[in-house]
Amino acid sequence: MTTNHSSPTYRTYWSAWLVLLALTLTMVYVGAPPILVGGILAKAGIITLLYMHLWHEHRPLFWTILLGIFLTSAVLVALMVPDARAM
Amino acid sequence: MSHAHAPALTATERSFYGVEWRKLMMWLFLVTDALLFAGFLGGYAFCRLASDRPWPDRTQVFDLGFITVMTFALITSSSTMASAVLAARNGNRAAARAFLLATAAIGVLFLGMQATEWTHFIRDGGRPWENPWGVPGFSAYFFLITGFHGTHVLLGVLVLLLTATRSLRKPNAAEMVEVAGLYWHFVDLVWVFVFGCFYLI
Repeated sequence: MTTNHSSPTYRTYWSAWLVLLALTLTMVYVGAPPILVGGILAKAGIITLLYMHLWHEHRPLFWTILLGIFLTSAVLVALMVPDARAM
Repeated sequence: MSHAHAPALTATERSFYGVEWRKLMMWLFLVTDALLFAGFLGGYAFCRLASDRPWPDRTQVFDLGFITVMTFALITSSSTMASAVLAARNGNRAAARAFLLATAAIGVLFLGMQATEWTHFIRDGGRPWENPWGVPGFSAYFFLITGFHGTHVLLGVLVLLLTATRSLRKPNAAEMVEVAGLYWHFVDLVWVFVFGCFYLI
């Protein structure tokens, strides 16, 4: 069987499962805001880049999806937070 | 031609995004769906930040241990889903079917737990328009966001069952499992944000 060296294997996916469980437990039991935000971003990164295989896709697809979502979210937060605080 | 010895590229490899059209369509749908949930969570955050009354204490309203087990279930189903995609790509249809059915079963478990949680929430007085914890928007966004997410899980379970029973027999089985997998991972991805923003912060 010829497999690309960079493609994930069962071992990769189930190691990621352990990391996700550890991150979730840390978020639940430590729960400081920086850990929560970092934990959310780390879990989202593992799911999109590894499980959804985005890291291994062609660069145009990778950047379109990543920038499309990140830029929109950044604009949403940037416009919303100051307005909500001013209410 | 200057590259007479280079192997001919397929239409997919020549295309800008380099993926099959089904996969590109699924990604396109997922980006729009992500924006839908971003809108919901943005509205929730605005409501919470702008609230002039103190936000209800999440530890008094929710059973966080129970929600953590729900989160574990969804994370585990993402790993079985990724394994199904790998098995289908290796041509091992029996393993792909087993992993797909396991993923669907964990999805059903998650839905059952969510139904239990909603039952407790409603018995405690939570309604989409009012609740005993002070801020009406709290329960309104709870039902809106967890309801939309649960509907996505339910649809995902149906997609997984159809993939396991029908798509696996087709010549493009690997691609169909991968497209179903993208949707399922996305449902887990949304839960990461719902769990973080609703139950932990």
